[in-house]
Amino acid sequence: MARSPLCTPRDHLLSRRQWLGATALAGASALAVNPLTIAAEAKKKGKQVLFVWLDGGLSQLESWDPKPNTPFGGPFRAIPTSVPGIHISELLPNSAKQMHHLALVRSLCTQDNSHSAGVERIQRGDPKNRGVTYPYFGSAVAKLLGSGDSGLPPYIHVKPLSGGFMPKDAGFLGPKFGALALGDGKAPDNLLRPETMTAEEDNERNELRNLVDQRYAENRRTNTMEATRYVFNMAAQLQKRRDLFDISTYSPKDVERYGKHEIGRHMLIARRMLEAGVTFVKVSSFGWDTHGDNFNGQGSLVPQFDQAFAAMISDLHERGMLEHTLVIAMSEFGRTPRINGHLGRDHWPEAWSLAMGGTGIKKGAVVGKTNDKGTFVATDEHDIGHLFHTWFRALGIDPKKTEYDNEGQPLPIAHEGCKPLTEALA
Amino acid sequence: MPPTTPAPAKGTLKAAKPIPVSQQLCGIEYSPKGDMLVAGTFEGGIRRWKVTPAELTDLPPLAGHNAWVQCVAFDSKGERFFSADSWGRVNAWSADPVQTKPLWSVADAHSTWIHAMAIHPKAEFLATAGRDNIIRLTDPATGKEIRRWEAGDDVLAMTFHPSGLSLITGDLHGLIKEWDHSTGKLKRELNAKQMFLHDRLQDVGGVRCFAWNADASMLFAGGCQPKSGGFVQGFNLVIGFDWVSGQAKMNHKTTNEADGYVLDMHWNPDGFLMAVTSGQPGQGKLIFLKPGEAQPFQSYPVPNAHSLAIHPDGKRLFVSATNANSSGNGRQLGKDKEYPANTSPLHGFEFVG
Repeated sequence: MARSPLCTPRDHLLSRRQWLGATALAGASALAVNPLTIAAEAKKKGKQVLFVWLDGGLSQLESWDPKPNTPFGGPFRAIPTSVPGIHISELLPNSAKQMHHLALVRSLCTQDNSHSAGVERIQRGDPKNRGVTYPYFGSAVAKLLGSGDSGLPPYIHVKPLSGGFMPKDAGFLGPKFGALALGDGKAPDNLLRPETMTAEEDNERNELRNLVDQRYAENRRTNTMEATRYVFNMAAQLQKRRDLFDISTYSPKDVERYGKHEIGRHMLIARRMLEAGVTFVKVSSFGWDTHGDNFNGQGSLVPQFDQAFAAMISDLHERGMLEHTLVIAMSEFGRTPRINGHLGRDHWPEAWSLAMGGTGIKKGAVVGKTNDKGTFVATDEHDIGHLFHTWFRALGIDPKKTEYDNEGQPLPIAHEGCKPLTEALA
Repeated sequence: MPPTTPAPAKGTLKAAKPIPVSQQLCGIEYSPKGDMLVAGTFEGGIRRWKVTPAELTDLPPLAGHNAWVQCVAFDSKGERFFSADSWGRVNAWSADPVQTKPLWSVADAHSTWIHAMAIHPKAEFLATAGRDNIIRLTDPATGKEIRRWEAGDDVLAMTFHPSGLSLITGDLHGLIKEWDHSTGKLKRELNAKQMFLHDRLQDVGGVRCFAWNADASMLFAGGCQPKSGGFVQGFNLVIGFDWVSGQAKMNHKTTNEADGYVLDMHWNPDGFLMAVTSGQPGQGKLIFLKPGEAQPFQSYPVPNAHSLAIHPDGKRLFVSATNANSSGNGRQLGKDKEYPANTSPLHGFEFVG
């Protein structure tokens, strides 16, 4: 797919035409074109997303698309799954038992082989360049589906290391749609009211802050102030739900099932956030960039993901939550079939895989195929734009009928040159 | 480690032109008679070469394994050799170059990747271990299991004490364990935890190879002091233990974090270690190291050297390495737009003069 870094008049024409078309449709059916109305529909169904991000690049050959006994296949075997005919790496024995809830895409062929570009492009859906920064998928869903009735932030990111509010995810949507990051799954710093301050004193302070904010806002951009207010309101909401952060209330059995390792702990926190009604929960795991000693590395990393991911899928199913929760597990690219001298695999965007499941996704589907050695996609190639179309569809949002309104500029929510993977949709 | 100690080597080491091999190789090993070189491949095969002082001649490859054949080793008489793969199979083969069928084969010796194999000095046992955390003792004559026990970790390196009285394992977490192989009981542990790092989610490093000095008074453990997971940067590390006391008496660590692992070592009867190293793509060496000296007294660059085979005459050796430019993010293709595979050229060396 050819890419130009600049927007062209044609891009604008297309966009305008789509907007006009959408406006015309609005006359016939306001429901079809009003993103807020569509979002409201999805909201009624309580749609949620769990997005598991394996930062650095999960090896497709040691996970969802093994090629055992081939020159690039590595040391591991493939094992059968709960879906006859689907085999995955022996490093994923627990996920193999959950395959009937999942779908695999083995035909990803994306644009970037560097982390710096790939992470952004993949998570923003790689739309056509129109001179604006598109939102990450989490921010997009936060915008389109909102917070639901939970009163909690719509986009929570459970990640290693530090936390805080991450407005950059939101792109042109404005900082309000950024992610609230829980560093190591912990509550934001200074969330709770100090014990030395009474509730009344806290209220008085907040009233004073609102007054100052209003005066400050008079000469400021609206969305900046909205974001500021939003963060304070979010903090107030979170103060009411401090129970969410109390890890002592997790059952020891669940802690064992998910694993005491970082990704296990974080996935368990994510489950609680989903149970509490958070619309979009992202779990990030770092350290998947296995350029050296890949096979011992994947042998250490993948089983931890497998334990936590499979436990989550099982729990979401048992709770009936897979009916309304879209689950995605992916990286910014795959890893080279070629095994380098340090026994590592490098970056490979040409042919890689992801797993997904839950609402709107066809159970047990496999989209696409790589060639016998796993070097290239042997069927139609799919870029991230196709996945954004697929995921929006799965969430009940029609990317053809829904557009962002960037201060008057209509913008498509997914790349117009791509389309959903219908074979992955329920 | 070789079942027999090679003769002392003297003279200047001369490098021969590397011999191309069209596949990537795991371990390589000379037969005790010095007439055959064998190597396991990444593709479930075993390559064999007839060895003469002048050249290596390809012998028919052996099939009967899956995926990576990481371990190959001859018994001390040189009549048989054994191989183990990453799907848990162990095979025994005749050293007769005409024979291409295994003498015996055990498909499920282990449930997964066999990382390490060692042969008892009197060929009473064949020991294997790997990712399933199991140590298995096998009758080398029949393939029949004699004993198995829990190793407690992923074993990456293994050797018998030259007396044959105990079995020593080195694991992912940097523990060296001495086992009574007649009972499977742990006798003692030596600490090589410098060779392990838990980085984010990843367990990195581990003891990768062993060598004994001539009188078995010192055990040398080779590996890496890891600095990070992912790229797996780290420093070459060799720790020498006084075998009686278990005290570390030697600690050779390099200063370049791209150096990576010491992956294979042999003792030269002239009183030094010969070792190969592999780090970031392109980084690798053949080094000669005297215990007690801070730096190797000789060092030859060999890209990503993985295994070292010493001819019994002590004068010749081969290093299996990796071709240059073996790394590559992105979309590099070969001259004919084919997807490029890496290979393991054999670097031959000879002591002359």
